[in-house]
Amino acid sequence: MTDKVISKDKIGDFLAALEGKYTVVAPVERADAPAEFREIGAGDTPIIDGSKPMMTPKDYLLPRYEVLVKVASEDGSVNVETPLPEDKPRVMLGVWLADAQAIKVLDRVFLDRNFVDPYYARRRENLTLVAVMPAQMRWSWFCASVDDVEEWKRNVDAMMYDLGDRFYFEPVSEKGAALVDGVFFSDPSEADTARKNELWDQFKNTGALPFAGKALYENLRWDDPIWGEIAQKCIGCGMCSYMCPSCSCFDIQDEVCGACVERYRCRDTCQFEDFTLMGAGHNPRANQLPRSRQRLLHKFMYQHQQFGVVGCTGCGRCVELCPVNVDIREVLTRTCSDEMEQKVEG
Amino acid sequence: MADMSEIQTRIREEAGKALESGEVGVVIGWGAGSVPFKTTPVFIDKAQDVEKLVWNPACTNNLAVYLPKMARDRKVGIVAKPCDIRSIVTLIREKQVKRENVFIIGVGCAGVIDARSLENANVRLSEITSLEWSGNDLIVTTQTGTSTVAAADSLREQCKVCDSRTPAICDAAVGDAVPRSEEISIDIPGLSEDRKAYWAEQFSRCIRCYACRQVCPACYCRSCFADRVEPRWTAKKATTQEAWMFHATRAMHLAGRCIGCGECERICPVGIRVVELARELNAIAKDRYGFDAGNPEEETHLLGSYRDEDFDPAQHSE
Repeated sequence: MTDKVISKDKIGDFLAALEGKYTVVAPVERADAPAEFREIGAGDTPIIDGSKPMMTPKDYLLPRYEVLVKVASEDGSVNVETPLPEDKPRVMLGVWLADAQAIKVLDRVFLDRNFVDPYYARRRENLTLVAVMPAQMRWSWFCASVDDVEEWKRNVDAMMYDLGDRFYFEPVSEKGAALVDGVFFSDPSEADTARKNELWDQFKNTGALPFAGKALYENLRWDDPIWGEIAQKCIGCGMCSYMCPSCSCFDIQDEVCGACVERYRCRDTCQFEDFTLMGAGHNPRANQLPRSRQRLLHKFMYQHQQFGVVGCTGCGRCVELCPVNVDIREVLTRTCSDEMEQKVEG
Repeated sequence: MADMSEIQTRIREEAGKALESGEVGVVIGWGAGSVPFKTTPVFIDKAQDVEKLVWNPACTNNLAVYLPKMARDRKVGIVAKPCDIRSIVTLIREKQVKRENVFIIGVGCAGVIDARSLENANVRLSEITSLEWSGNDLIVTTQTGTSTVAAADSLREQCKVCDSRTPAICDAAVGDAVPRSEEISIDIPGLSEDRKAYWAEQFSRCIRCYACRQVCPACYCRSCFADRVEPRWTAKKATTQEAWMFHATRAMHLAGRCIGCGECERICPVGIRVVELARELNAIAKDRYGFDAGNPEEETHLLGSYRDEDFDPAQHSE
């Protein structure tokens, strides 16, 4: 597999050629809102350089509204339908590396050997995942502090680096290499490779925080007073998890619609009061404190214990969007600082 | 006019006095954020901690959202901008907070910033070290120098049209009265013929996180219609129709109650212009019933009062 470059003025034709073989999924620009991952169609402006704020790729792989079962009765007969997504080759472009790694986290939940979610699997299994390294890193990223990003790079099918007037294209897997079409690509110059390496180094140094390299799952504590501090200001909006690329909790609801019933999947979050509310009225997480603790411990401790992955990939969306500025980077810095350890132990 | 650091010092003094005298057990205010263009709510319960309170153009949060829970059975101090105070007035009028349970440190305000606008004005957020108003301009200091951004490119939208810049009620006034600045025109689509298409597009983006509701000081219902299962008013699925039901119902619930602080719009992750709905309903309330939400001189609620001369929609079909 050899690295290539593609000039930006050939991207339109490259995408058109890809569309002949694949369903192309990319962030599509929207007015006043972050770009959203969609199957691109006529009139869409895909943003494949990673330069703009975007919704997470999970919105495509795990839609906010997905009908799982539809039961309709007609003329006395009952018709049960399970509308699985179409099985077709897909390529996903313009994915931040943090989001690509978050898909690996989702894979552990939805493609686990003990239970494969057929809806997720249909979209995921024949997917070629192309991550992009934008020309400018976002201020909120802290990827390199949560995990080994060199490893993340091995988990995608190809990497693209924005070099200004061209992209550096680095196939990682056979699937990624299959995207390279001689007509659009050429060999990189030494300067291209140097610039690509520079971008990668920049990424590795973005958001380098005091907790980098620490085993977070060993440092977070159930009885840390910080959960109470977060809970005091947290308004329980749940945006941190709705906008999180790796949060995967969902709800299943049944709804009567005329002569049919649909069972659908939609989002849910541990930040909501009714997430753990039992039918009989008891709520094991009765206030915000255990809810705030749950999200962090789940990402950094439980998912590690369960699947051997870190459930947060440092994409920074919650850092940017939290309405009360609960900054996960600060929380992790504090929970991992020696001072805090002493305070808890002492 | 007192500059921002003087006002900050005065806020700390007033908070310290209220805590030391035992008048309040806690003061809710803004503290330094994790980045210089944000602040974070802080809850100060010791006089020596008042140094944590800050006042700068990023003091955006409407802290009144914490009052219904925190001031239920004790007196709390709160640092509040004029718009936040209008929220407090509404909470008092609606008997969610007792007037005697709040100690308001009222701050005159020239407006707060919108980080997204700054980004659109090509300010590199990561390089900001401090922000300060100077007249109608925002002075942005970065590691490499200072630059000036016009108010039109840095203010939050509702601050551009705000006409309540001086606290309507308070227990300690901090800073001078802030004169009404020249109104900066903002783009409000208004009731045009295609408003149905406009809102359909807006609501199609809704991810149903309900953050707009959670951040809203007027949305204090213990049990929200949107969470009800029996009857189910609006389904949880993210479709335009269901989102429409949620936002339209919420807007009606806020008629004559929303004071336009714009928190809902600030935090919407998909940029839905939620506050436009409330602005429209409040304009109707003012036009037809002369009611001004959040104004302490109003004697009652919009929906809780009747006068013979009130506009009767049944007789004025449009």
